[in-house]
Amino acid sequence: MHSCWNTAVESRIIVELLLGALKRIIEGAGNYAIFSARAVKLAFLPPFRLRLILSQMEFIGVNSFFIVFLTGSFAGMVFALQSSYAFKLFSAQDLVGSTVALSLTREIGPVFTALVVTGRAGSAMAAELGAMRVTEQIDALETMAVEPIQYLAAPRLIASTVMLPVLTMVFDAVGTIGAYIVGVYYVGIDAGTFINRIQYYVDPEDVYNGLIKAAVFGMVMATVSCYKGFFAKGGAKGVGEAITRAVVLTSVSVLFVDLLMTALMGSGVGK
Amino acid sequence: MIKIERLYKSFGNQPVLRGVDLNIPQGKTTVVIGKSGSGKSVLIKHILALLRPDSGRVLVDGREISSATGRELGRLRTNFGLCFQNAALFDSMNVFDNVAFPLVEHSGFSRAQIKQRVEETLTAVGMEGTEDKFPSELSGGMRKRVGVARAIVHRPQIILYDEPTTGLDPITASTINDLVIDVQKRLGLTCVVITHDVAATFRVGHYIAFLHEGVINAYGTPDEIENDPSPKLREFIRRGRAG
Ligand SMILES: Nc1ncnc2c1ncn2[C@@H]1O[C@H](COP(=O)(O)OP(=O)(O)OP(=O)(O)O)[C@@H](O)[C@H]1O
Ligand SMILES: [Mg+2]
Repeated sequence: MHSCWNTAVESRIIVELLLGALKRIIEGAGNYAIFSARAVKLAFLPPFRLRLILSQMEFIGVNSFFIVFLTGSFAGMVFALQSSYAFKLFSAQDLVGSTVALSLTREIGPVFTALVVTGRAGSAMAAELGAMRVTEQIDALETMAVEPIQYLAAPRLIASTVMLPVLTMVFDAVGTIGAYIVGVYYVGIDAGTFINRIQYYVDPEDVYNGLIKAAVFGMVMATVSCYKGFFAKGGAKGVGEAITRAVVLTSVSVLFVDLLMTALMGSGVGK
Repeated sequence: MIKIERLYKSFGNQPVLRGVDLNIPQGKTTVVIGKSGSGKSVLIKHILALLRPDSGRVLVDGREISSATGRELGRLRTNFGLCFQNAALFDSMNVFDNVAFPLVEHSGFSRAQIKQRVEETLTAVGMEGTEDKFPSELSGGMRKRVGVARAIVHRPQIILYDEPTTGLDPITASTINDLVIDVQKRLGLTCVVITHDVAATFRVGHYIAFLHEGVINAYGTPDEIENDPSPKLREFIRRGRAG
C-alpha cells in the first residue's frame, strides 16, 4: 500500500520533470527560431555595416586559415593512409585519390571545417556577446536606438556564411594535396593515375554541394553562437555556460543538418 | 514630460515595483532616491523600455514607450541619453569611439563635427586626452565619466543618470554634480538622477521622489521633502547626512 503510493508520486514527479524539460526545449527552439529569423532578415536591411562585416570576416576567415590548413592536411593524409590499407586488400589502391577527394569535398571538408571553426570562432562569438550582455553593453546599444541583433548578430552571420565555404575549399585543397603526398610518395600510387581518378570520379557538383553545406553550417554556427551569447545571464559563470552550450549545440546541429542535407541532395552514386 | 502610471514589475516571484506612479516634469531635474535594491535601476530601465512592465505604462510626451516596438521605439529612444550605473562602455572601442557612437549612428554629423563635439564633451567631464584609451585601461571613476559623456554627447532632451557619482572621490563627484546641474540649466533638459547621495539630492534636484518597497513613498520639492513626515524617508535622509 505504502510503496504503491510512493510509486504513484514518483512517476508523477518523473512525468512532470520530463514535461518541464520538453517545455524548455520547445521554448528554446522557438526563441532560437525567432532570433535567427530576425538576424537573417536584418542582414538584408540597411544600415549595412561593412566595417563590422569585414572585421568579422577577418576574424572568422583569415584567422582560422592556419588551423583549417593544419587539420585539412592531416585529415587528408590519415584518410589516404587508411583507405590505402583497405584498398590494398583487393588491389584497388588506384582509387585512393578519388575516394579521399570525394569524401573531402562532400562530407569531411565542410563538416570538419565547421567543427574546427566552431571551436575557434563560434565560441568567441558566444563569449563576446555574452560578456556584452552581462555588462549591459547590449542594453547600451538599445538605448542608443541601435538594433543589437543587427549590430552584433547580422555581421557575424554574413561573415560566417561567406567564409565557411572559403575555408572549406582550403580544407578540400590541402586535404587532397596531403592525400597525394601520402598516396604517391608513401603508398606508391602512380601520380598520373592518382590525379586521373580524381578527375574521373569527382564532379563539380560534389564540390558545389559541399560548399553549399558549408554555407549552411556557417549560418548554423553564427546563429546558435550569437543566440547563446545574446541571452547569457548571470555574470562570468553564465557566460561560460553560454560558450559551452554554443559549441556543443552547434556541433550537434552541424552533424544533424549534414544528415538532412545529404539525404536531400542524394548520393549522386551511379551518375 | 514622462508619466509613469501604476507600474508593476516582478522577477520570478520577487516583486520589485508594486504600482509606481510618478510624473517627471519637462525641463527639470527629478532625483529618485531609495535603498540599494529598492528597484531604482529597474525603474529607470522601464523609462527607456529596456525592461517591459508586468502592468502599467510609461508615457513620454503622451506616447507609450512601454509598449512601443521597432522604429517607433527607436525614434522615442533617440530623445534619451542613459548613463548606466556601471558605465556599460563598449570594451571593443576606445574612449573616442565610445563617446562618438551616438553621433555616428544618428546625428549625420561630419567627421570633423563629431571630433569637435566629442572633444568638447570629454573636456566637460574632465576626461580630455584619454581618447585613445580603452575602457579596460580606465579606473572605475574614469569609466563613469566617459559614460556620462556618452549619455550627453548627442544633446538629448531627456537624460537619465543611474548613480553618476557613486564610487567617485568627493571632488570628482562634486564636479559631476556640477556638470549635471550645468548641462540641465544650459540646455533646459529633463533630467532623472538616481542617487544614494543625500547632499547631492538636495543640490541637484528640483523634485525628489523616494522609492520604498516598490512605490513612491514620498515626492516633492526639496523643501517639501525636507519636511515630509514619512518615517522611512526621515531615516534615509538622517542616515545619509550622518554619512
Ligand atoms: N534582470 C533582473 N533579473 C532578476 N532580478 C533583477 C533583475 N534586475 C534587478 N533585479 C532585482 O530587482 C531588485 C532591484 O534591483 P535594482 O538594480 O533596481 O536596485 P537599485 O535600487 O538600483 O539598487 P542599487 O542602488 O544598489 O543600484 C533587486 O533585488 C534585484 O535583485
Ligand atoms: Mg541601481
